[in-house]
Amino acid sequence: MYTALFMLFLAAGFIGVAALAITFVTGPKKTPQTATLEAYEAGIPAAGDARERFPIHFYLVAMLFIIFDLETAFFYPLAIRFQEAPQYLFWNALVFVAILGVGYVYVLRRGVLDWR
Amino acid sequence: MIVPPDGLVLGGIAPALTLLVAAATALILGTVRADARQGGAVALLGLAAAAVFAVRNLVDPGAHGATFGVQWVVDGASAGLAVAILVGTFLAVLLSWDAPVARVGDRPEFHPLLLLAATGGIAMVHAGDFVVLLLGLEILSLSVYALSAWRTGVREGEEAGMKYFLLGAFASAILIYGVALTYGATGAFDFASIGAALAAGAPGPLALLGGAFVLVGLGFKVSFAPFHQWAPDVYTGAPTPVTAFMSVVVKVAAFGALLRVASEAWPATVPSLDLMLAILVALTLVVGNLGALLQSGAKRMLGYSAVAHAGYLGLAVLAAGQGLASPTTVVWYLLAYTFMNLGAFAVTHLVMHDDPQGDRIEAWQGLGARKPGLAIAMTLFLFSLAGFPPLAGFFGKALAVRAAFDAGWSSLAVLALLAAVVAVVYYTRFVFAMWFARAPRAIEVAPSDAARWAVGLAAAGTVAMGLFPDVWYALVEGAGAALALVP
Amino acid sequence: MTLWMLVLPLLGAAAAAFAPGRLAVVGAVASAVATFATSAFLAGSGALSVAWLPALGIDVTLDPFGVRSVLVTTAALTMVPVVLTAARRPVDERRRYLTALLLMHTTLNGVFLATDLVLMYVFWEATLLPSLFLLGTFGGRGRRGAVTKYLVYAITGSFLMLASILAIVPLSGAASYAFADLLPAARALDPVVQTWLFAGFAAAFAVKLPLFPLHAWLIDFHRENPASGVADVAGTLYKVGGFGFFAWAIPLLPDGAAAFQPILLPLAAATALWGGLAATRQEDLKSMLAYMSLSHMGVVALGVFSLTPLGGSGAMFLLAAQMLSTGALFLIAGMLHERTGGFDFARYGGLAKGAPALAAVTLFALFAAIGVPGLSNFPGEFLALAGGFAASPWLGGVAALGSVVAAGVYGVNTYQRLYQGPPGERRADLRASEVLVVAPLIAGILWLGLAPAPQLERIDASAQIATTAAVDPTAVPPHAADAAEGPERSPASTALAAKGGER
Repeated sequence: MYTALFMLFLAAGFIGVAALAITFVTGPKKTPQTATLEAYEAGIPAAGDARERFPIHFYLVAMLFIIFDLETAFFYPLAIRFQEAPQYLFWNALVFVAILGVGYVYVLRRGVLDWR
Repeated sequence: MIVPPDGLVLGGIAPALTLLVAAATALILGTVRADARQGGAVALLGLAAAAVFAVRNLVDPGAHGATFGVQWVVDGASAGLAVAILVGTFLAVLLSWDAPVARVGDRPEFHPLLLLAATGGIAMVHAGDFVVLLLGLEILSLSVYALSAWRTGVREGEEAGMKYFLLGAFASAILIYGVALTYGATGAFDFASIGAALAAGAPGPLALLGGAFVLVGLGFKVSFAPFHQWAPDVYTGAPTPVTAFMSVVVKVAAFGALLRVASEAWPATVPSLDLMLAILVALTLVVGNLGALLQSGAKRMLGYSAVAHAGYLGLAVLAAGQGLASPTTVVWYLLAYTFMNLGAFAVTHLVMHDDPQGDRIEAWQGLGARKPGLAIAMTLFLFSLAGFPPLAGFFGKALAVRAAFDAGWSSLAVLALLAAVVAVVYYTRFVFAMWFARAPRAIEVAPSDAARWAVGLAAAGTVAMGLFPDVWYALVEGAGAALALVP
Repeated sequence: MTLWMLVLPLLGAAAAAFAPGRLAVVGAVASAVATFATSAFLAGSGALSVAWLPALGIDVTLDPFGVRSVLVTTAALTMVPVVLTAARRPVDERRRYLTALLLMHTTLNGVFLATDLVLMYVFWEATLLPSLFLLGTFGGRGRRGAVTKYLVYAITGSFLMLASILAIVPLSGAASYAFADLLPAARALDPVVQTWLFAGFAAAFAVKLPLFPLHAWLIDFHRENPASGVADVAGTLYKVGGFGFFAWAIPLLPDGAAAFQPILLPLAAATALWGGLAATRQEDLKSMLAYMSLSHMGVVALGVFSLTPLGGSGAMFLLAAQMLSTGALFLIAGMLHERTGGFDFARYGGLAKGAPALAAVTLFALFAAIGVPGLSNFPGEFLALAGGFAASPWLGGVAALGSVVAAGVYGVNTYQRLYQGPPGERRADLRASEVLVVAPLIAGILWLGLAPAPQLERIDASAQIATTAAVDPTAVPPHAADAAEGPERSPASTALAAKGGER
């Protein structure tokens, strides 16, 4: 049962190792220029360290995004099996949306989305 | 997939839903007008309504199914513990009515968080499988993490919140790992199927490791030694009304879950899990009682006393989990504990004014002469915690020890009573300070009629449960007969 | 009638705590008198049984059968002068004093009357709290230490007893904690199990007896208690360890008792001897009384541990009698303290000249305490020692040395050092209010001393139950209530009549 999975891992490992090995063997060998060592070879040069304090708003917005993203993910399977128990699933979805709605109203009124 | 009934059957889940609606209402109203009284009033109304449903579950447990396709067990144990959680939350709301924590103008989330924590607790005690248990645990824990860090800008408060959050998250992770391992070993999440699978043959190392991890995760929440270190620090650092709340509600919920897991998911044919629990109980009894002996402040002392009481409760859970004693013992003890422990913290709150540096035994000197009413109440609570008859705590301890004898854990039972001798010493130190020492200064207690009501109700509960133990016992035991899993 | 023994003092306590002004005192005194008056009719009244926690077999059952009614009546009589003395305290102390005393009386009656083991334990523990409160609030300079010592001794003992109490039903399979249910089931237990269970009971009862070497708390308790003697008498009433052995541990666990007899009997004799000898060497009145009381308790223990009906009856009679005689002496000590401001004998001497009535009363109480025939302690002490001789002549002799010979020495010495010798400062004689205090005690001492037979017969009914099993484990005793009326004279009173003739 797991043989296919094992083969997949084997193939993935082989491709990875092979790609590196082939470039190493066949590729030209010369000293890299400074631009090659940059994170982005073409574009604006990186300035400063990425490990600094971000405004907390980023996180709040990101979390809100995840919550509403999950809501969509939840509704797809619900839609597919809706005919099995229409009333039950309808109320179920409504309660779920209502709970999310309370959270949304709370977030709005507490000014989380006001970008100050 | 479980085929759900078409339509809504609220029944047994009604107490939790009521609290959820109340929490949402308080949250939205709080954004309209930041007023602690408004949040408190909504909370009290919601709790009273939820209590009506919970008592209905207790009186007539079989008749109420559940909905949303969850494993939601309605029997004497779960309905009784739900009542204990509601009582504890009600008293905590009264206690915080005039407290500075609830009044911080810009933060109307206090009461909604209390209600959400209670909702999570109710889900935990009703859980029939690990999924509902984990959901309840996380709802409860996340709310309490926030509440325990409520005193911002105070070093002890921030320490408490951080410590509780980090250790709590760690314990949750271990619990989830244990659940995953158990699922791996048995292929089931619901307690009944796990129990049947484990009873079918000799359980492998996977199942035992899973059981051990579940025990550690829940052991953290009920503060079994050696996972108790957080309790005294968090109890001291959190605002006293929050400490009062978490010391009872978290304990009731976690013990409810542990009782359910121990009695249904761990069959009596697997003695190693019971042995692990027994070792934890023995350690807890010794560490909790000896630790409390060394404390000089009421909150820290009560923190260690909470650890010690976890030992007695663990004794009852151990016996009930083996099917050799009635789970009613645990339920009875937890309501008694709710009254007496919350009462003790309530008086502490009134005497200490939430002063982080005020947690010293000197604060209690001469209270008997200056404020006899409060001192009598505190004496009742401490004597009840110590196990003096005829107060609630006596029957709690007696029932737990009797259960241990019933189950054949005689040495643990004797250890529990010897540890109780130590307990008498540390509780009575505070009683002596109140009555037999002169007051070094005038004692100003926080002016709050609502908090006084909380003290009075808790005292009435402590005395009434001691004088009429059968009322609550018969109610829970009667409902316990209808123990059934409701799909 | 039985329930009133709890209700009346409880009402008195409520009155003392909440009634306004002088009404509090009137209510307290009235309840003490009413309790005693009611207790006189207790002997024939019926038992009471109400379910308490039926799931675990715990009920509220009270039965004034046999020795129980004797002890309740004597304690109620002793409480009357105690309450009267407490009523004379300053106004600000009076209320707390009376409330604590009457609460203690309520729970003490509960200890004597309860025939459910758990209920007995509840009262047993509850009695501790008022006496702790009196000592801690009104005691002397070392009261914190004394309270802690008392508490630790008492609690360690009683929690070990609680272990035995809770274990006895699961181990024996008895239907409930009621004495009648426990009796057949517990006696059928394996001797080894019985010994363990007995050890738990013995821990609590030996501390409360108190038995050498567990008596250290008693001396501190009396030394630090307030001078008036009120709390001392309350403590004296609460020395119910002998009753516990006699009414519970020995009848339920006869094999355990037999196994422990070789340890307990020598300890009892040692207690009697040590108490008596130490009493002769004391330099202050209250310590002397404390050691005297310890010596009496040694004799009580000797009688109980002899496991004979004779010794058991005598021990219980002595327990009741010493409530009166020791109680009287502690109250007199309080009166003397009022006059001189101290307890050390050096302050006294030659008081008889100025206070002849006080001297006479003191001498009377001392005579009662050292066991002069015709007064209250004699029948009990005699029978207890007789039981001790029957069990072990050597140990009986040792105990007699302490309780009879040493008693003569300390009794006479004490009187001499208080009242005789060169007359010192003149002190007031017995006041009218003080006459009222000592009169009931003197009447009680004479009552028990001159006509001991009716009380002994009641006690014997209990003694038969307590000791039949120790002799014959198969004998199932008759139901308690049936045994109350015996047509023939009990062995104890017969033996006493014979001995009295010799004297």
